Amino acid sequence: MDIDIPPDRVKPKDYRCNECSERFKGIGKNPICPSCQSEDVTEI
Amino acid sequence: MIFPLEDELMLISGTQSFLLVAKTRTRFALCIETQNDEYVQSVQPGDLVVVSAPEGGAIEPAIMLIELIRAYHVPLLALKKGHPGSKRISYVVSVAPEISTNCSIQRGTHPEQHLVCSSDELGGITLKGTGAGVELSPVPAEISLQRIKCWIKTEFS
Repeated sequence: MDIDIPPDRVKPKDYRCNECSERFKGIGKNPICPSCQSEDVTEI
Repeated sequence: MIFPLEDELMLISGTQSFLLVAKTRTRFALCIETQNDEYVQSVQPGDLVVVSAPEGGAIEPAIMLIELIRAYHVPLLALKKGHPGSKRISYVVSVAPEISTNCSIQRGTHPEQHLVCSSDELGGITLKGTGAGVELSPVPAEISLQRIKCWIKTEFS
């Protein structure tokens, strides 16, 4: 059995870390950089 | 109902399957790897880690999965829909402030963390982390709830 989960259920936003310049796709509130764990990120 | 829970684990048992629930201790970035992308979910203290064993089995692998995530922050892997390996996955996990069990999804193939695949008997339950513990709604009559304390101990000789 399977159900169709609309592909837009995961709605990431693109961010850049202001500490280490890592770019990532974040989900949820208060995004955290996966490389340096900084919350100092900017949506791009 | 609210099940009081701090750093312990909550075991929700049906007749042939179980869920193991824990609260995260710290803030961290959880990476979710899919076939084509990487998503980074921000996890806050008190969010839930829920491991589901739709066919039951030993509890220790579920404990290890919880600690791999909440203590060691290992990435989650999501298979593509229809992947042949889906049927071999006996433990699945989701991490989110609120998680619902669903018996109609294909194991290991959905990166969305608000759902976790479960057996029929444990389907339709919503678990939510609260300051006091974990809120369950509804609470099926046939399930049992237990609190578990465990330690990972390593001895070198």
